[in-house]
Amino acid sequence: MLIHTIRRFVNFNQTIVVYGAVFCVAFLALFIGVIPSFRRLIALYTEIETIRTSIEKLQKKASVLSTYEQSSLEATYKELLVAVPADKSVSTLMATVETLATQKQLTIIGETIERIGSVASQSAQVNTKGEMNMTITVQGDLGRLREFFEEIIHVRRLVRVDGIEMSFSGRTQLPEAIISMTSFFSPLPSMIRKLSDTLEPLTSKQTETLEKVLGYPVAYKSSVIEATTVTEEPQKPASDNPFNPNATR
Amino acid sequence: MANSGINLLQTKSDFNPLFALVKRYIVWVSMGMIGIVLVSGIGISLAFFYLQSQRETFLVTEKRLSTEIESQSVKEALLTGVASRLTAIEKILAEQHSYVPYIDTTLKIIKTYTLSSFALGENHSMSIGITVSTLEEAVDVFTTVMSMEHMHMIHSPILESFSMKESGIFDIKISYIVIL
Repeated sequence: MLIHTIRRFVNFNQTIVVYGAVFCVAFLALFIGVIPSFRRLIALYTEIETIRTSIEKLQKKASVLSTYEQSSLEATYKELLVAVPADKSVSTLMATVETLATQKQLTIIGETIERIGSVASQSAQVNTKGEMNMTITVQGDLGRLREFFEEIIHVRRLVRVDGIEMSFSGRTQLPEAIISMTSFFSPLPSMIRKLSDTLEPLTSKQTETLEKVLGYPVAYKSSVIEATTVTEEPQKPASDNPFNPNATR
Repeated sequence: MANSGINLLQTKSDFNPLFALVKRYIVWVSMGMIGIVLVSGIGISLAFFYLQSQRETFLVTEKRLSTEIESQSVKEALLTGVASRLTAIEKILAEQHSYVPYIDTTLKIIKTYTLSSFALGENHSMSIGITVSTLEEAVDVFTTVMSMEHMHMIHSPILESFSMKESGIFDIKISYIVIL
């Protein structure tokens, strides 16, 4: 009976049944095949966009890197390390101040470096601010002091004068200035950069600063005797050397 | 054997108006559906193949650039180091200030006389003490201070004290604000 009814329904509604089946298949294909494929396509497009952005960044980075020479960057970095060293470098700080004071004919009466901590090791740094306070007491003519103040902020390594206290004592009545200063250091970067990190070329302001700082003289350089400049005296003949066992007497 | 003839005595017919309406549109709807599936399927496939090939190309380019940059890692580290140090230097230079104008104004006022005290105050103010041996020299100091104020090198000069010591020398204390 049921089969008979179905058969009769199919006979009467053949078009509906056939096209209904086609519609169902198409509908299923849309939901099972087309829509997931479209989603995958979108995901692929998003992935491509990510790769494209990454390529753009890498291209920019590569072009920035290609504009600089490694040797010149090394030299610049070394020169900048003289201005702001990687560690406290007390020796260069003292040498700078002492050389400048000597050049300006000022007498250094006292020198104090506050919270010095470790002298030159990066590993034991307590001071994370990168600043080191120093107080020096100098005695000399006011004109010479003026020259000292003019030059101390235009030399490598860099210092900041925080204050002056001046007193006039003794027989000479020469001013005695207690100068408080801050010197700076900046540790080398300890983190390795990621490949995806952006790299910007030096800005015009940075280039300007670089030129300015590289123009500053290194005060203590003049006081260091270059090993290469020392001319060796010709060795005396062995006969003149009294400690030479082969010397003729 | 099934009866395929027409039963003229049957009062009910199988004709349903809803089925007639469905029959009218189902062809177009199902064909349209098939069309959509086929067209979108073909479109998606083409786009997929195109994007896949682009992805491969981009991945090759990315790899090439990565290798190129990795080979210049020292240069990158140096450039980053230079840039970060320059940023620190810019900050230091911005904080630096010169004490030369304070000494310059003092030197201009004292000329050849003896400076007995020198103190810096807040907001560019300072106070100096000068020792002179005659009244004329004291007048000279005051004249210099006044002319410097007119020249806008200093402002608000104040004579803090003016005293004569037993030895006959004069002690002058002046405070003023240096115009930087």
